[in-house]
Amino acid sequence: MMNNENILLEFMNIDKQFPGVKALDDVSMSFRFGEVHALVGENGAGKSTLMKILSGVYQPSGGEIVYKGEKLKLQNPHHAQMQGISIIFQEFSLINTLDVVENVFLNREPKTSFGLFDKKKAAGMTKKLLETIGIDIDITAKIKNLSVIEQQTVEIIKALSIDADIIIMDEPSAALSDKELSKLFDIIMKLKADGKTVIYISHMLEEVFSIADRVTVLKDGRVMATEEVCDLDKDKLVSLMVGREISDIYPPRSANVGDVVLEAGDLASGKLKNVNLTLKKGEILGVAGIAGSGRTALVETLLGIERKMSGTVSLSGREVDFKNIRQAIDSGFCYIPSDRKNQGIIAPESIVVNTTITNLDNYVVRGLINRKAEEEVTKNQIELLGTKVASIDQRIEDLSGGNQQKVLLSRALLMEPEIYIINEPTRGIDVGAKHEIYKIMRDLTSRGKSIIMVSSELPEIIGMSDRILVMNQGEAAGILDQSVKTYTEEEILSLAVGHEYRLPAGGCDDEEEV
Amino acid sequence: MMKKKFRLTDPGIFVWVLLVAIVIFSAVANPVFLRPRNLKNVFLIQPVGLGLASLGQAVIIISGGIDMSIGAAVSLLTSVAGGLYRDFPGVSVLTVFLIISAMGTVIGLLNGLLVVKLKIAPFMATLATMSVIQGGIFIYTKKTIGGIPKSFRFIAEGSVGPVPFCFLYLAVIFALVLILMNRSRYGRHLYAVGANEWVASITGIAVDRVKLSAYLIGGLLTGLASVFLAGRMGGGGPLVGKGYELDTITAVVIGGVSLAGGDGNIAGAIGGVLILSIFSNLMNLLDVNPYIQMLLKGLILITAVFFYAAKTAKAKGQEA
Amino acid sequence: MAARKKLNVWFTMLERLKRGAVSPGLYAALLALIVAALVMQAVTGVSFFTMSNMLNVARNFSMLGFVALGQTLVIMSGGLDLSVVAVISTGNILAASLINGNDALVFPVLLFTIVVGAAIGTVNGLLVTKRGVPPFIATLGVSIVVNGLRLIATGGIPKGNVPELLKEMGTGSFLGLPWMVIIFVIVAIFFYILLAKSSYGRRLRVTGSNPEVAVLSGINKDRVIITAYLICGALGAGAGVFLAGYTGIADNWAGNEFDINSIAAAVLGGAAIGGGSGSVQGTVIGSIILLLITNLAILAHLPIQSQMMVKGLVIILALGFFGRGKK
Repeated sequence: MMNNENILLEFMNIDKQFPGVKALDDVSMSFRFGEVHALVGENGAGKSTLMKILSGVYQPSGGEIVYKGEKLKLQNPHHAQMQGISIIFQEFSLINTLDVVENVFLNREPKTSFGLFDKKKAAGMTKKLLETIGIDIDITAKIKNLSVIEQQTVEIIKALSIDADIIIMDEPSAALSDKELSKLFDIIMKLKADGKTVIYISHMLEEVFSIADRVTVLKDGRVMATEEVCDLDKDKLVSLMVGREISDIYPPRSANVGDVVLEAGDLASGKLKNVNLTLKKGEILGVAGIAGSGRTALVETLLGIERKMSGTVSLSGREVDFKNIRQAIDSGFCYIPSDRKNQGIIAPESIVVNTTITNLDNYVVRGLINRKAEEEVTKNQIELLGTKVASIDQRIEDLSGGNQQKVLLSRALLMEPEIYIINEPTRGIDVGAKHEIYKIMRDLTSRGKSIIMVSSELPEIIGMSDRILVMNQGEAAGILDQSVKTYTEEEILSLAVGHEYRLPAGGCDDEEEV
Repeated sequence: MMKKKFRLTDPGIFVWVLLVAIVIFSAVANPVFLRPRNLKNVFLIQPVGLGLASLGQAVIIISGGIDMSIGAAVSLLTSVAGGLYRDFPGVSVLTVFLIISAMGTVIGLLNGLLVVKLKIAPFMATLATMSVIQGGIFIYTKKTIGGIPKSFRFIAEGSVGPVPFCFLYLAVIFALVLILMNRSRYGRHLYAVGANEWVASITGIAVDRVKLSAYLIGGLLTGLASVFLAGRMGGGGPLVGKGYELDTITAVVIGGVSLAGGDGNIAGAIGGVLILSIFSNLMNLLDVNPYIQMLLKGLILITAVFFYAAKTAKAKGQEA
Repeated sequence: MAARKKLNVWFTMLERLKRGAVSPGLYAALLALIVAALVMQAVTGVSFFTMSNMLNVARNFSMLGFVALGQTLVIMSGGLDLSVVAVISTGNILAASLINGNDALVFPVLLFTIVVGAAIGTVNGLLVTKRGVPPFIATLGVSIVVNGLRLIATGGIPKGNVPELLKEMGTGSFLGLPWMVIIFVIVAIFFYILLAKSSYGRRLRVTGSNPEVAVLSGINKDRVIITAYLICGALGAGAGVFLAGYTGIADNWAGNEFDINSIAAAVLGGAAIGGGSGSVQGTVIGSIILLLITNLAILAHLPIQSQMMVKGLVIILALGFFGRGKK
């Protein structure tokens, strides 16, 4: 352990309880002055929750934060900023309709002698800050006209302008190209050289090895380890992150995969470049890739939610061209989107209404709904999937995430589709419910249904998929057949980020020079 | 550095293109339009009332709200101006000016409180105040009240040298609002709140206070507009402000201010007001049936929102 | 197990009461108002609970009810219809000028007028769905155009006569019940079934609550919303025709204040601005409450126009203090 003088911030036994889920459990860790500290873990491991606590968005349920030797209670993000803790959210916190200068100095505008906004001074300061990190962007441009890396740069400048000691970057690489990423790394190295502490959240291990000094691994809301990057290799890091017997939670794959039911050739749309894929009867095709790689665009183009620009889609040899999702549904598709809250549940409505909305016509006689019939069906579904509810008239928003997902699965099941497209089947769901959902999915394939499963959780991709389609920047980077061998997270990741992925020299060498 | 893109179809620029076009069209359509007397009326006098009210509407819309009560407020305030002179002959111009401005501000305060404290959607909140005020006027007076003396009418009819005083009145207030919106720190906060409340709040901006202040400013400007209108008509009445809420919204939308909030230059609203002023002048010069004028005005509004709405709608899940 | 089942039954009933279409507070408000009216009558001697006044209230109620039901549908879809004034006035003028005193033309013209109203509603719906124009501004714009067209056509002075048959419908009774009320009850029952029992009602509610889920569930969102505006237009136009029968004259501004009245009635009845909730029962009770209040105000000799004040306050109360809005 280093001596305490080097420690800028320390988490002591932080707990965070959400209704039904313990997101953080006794988290203790520390950050040193001038280090790049990576925070890694699967989705749902608690990274974002922890950082939201550090930036004042959430209050911890227990434990405390010690900052510069003193206890710190953060009330809100603004308070955190005033203390020198600046977070760059994944969804940027910039005002789209204002320009760069106005955003950087929002609510901290320098004043002229008349008390007005001294834009010249602010522009000069913005330029200077840009120079310090060696980037040139049009400071008079409105945010909405900037590229993602430019917006990210504005966020960093904003953090620098308040003289933040800690800059938190939440998956900054998600929407960046390789070139932009190396630019970002240059900036981070400069920040570090200036003595800033950078907390870098990512699940891209390559990035961790090239930029971080230390890394903390979170899993299921607990700290697995904090290590110097130099003392680690990838295998060790992966085993810390995953660290779970896969066979425990993933049911065995079904044996009888049949003929091709769905085929897409040279499929292209806004974010998609000539993707080819096939889906066979009774198989689960996993779609992996980093955020922004076109995973969701792929399935939404298949479903007609996004219009395809070129290419073909055929169902059992018959070519189809869906203009909207309704046509896809009529042809035997169903879709469970990833954003359960906004795209899945109808929050204020009952479980019955939520269950039967997609196949409502089945319960309609002469325009009227047969309430008995739909209640009957809903009850059957609840029993079938083991959904835990107090009553079928309960509002769906009062259920836990796992039970909500089961209701959505019921909704899909009732359509009796041949092809299930499920985007992030277990996001935000506890382990027990995950296992049950996996069982339901397996059960479907053994009954001859086919599933396309988009997921950002690699263990889930590996554990569930018969074949894995890896997306990279809108293209299919490869298809891995798991009937031959079970692939590793690394193999999938290297496809997902591309082999040409070259990063600046790793943090360890720099460390030794210091 | 990149060059800034300059596009004529950009709403903030298009309004001025449209203004030039309609001026040329009017000049060609009827030569009377170009007579100095007419030009003075169209550009310097007629736009003052709607101009001031539209500035207020624009400030509120930029903050993410809307004000449906402007018309009723104008009716009430002009009536009160007339009523003050009726009931207290010899009251000073300044006193009336202050009372009307203050009353406008209080109406703005009420609107703001309904939106900020009771969290009623701005459209519904101001529609309700509109209804309350409109009902209130009829308790106060059922008829127009005239008899505003010359001293007060100077605001609308007087001149300073060759320049109408009311034009200076508008120009000074416009300049102040322009500085407030484009040059002050407060202006930046107002845009930020209108564009994205969450982001504004995490940078420590007091969102509620900013929203409330927008309604206060809007109310004050409505009061200032009413002062002019009372002077111009020599009185006030329950129907004087009829249609003002819609005209102000039309002017603001033509001016390129987004109904979703947080976007657009306040100067555009004045461009929109000038366009409306020229339009109604032209209609009168061409002796167009008032009902056809009404129809055309409706079509202008629909056309304006039709073209600007696509980006407006997706910006926010703003209801009503 | 049996005990658990029994508990479930209770829970279900409790849930249903809590989530019932009409909040218990609304019934309480209605009751309080009636008691207040009784007290007022006893103390001041105003003739509130007289047959003629009650019939009068009932006829007014029916007219407002038609429009408020349409408004409820539009509000449930997530919108708002401010064009009802223009639509009612236009229906009113069309009825008088086209029928022109000829009883035989009453029903064909009624049908034609309803079609015109539906067409105007469709334009509203198209602007809102296809172009994403905010509902209030779309319907306001459309209403100016409709008003302009009507005034151009009539030259500002309405012509035509209201036929006897229509007058009888507007002012007459059958077995002691006003025709208007009978027609309204039939229409209201139809809409109750539509909203509470039909698949359209379900789709409307879902679309209003969460348009994104609606689309992903294969619901034709635009069609559901346009239908709501269409129905609102049709009901408004029909109300305009009956209004001609009630007043016995053609009036270019017959629909005045129906916009705010219908919104107030719907909102009072639990329709949430922003979409998703609302019911026929609620709107009917909301309409009754609104009319009782204004009627009491008239009997108390408050100026007629000051009723607007009451409506504004009712909206503020309903939304601000008992708001069931989504956010």
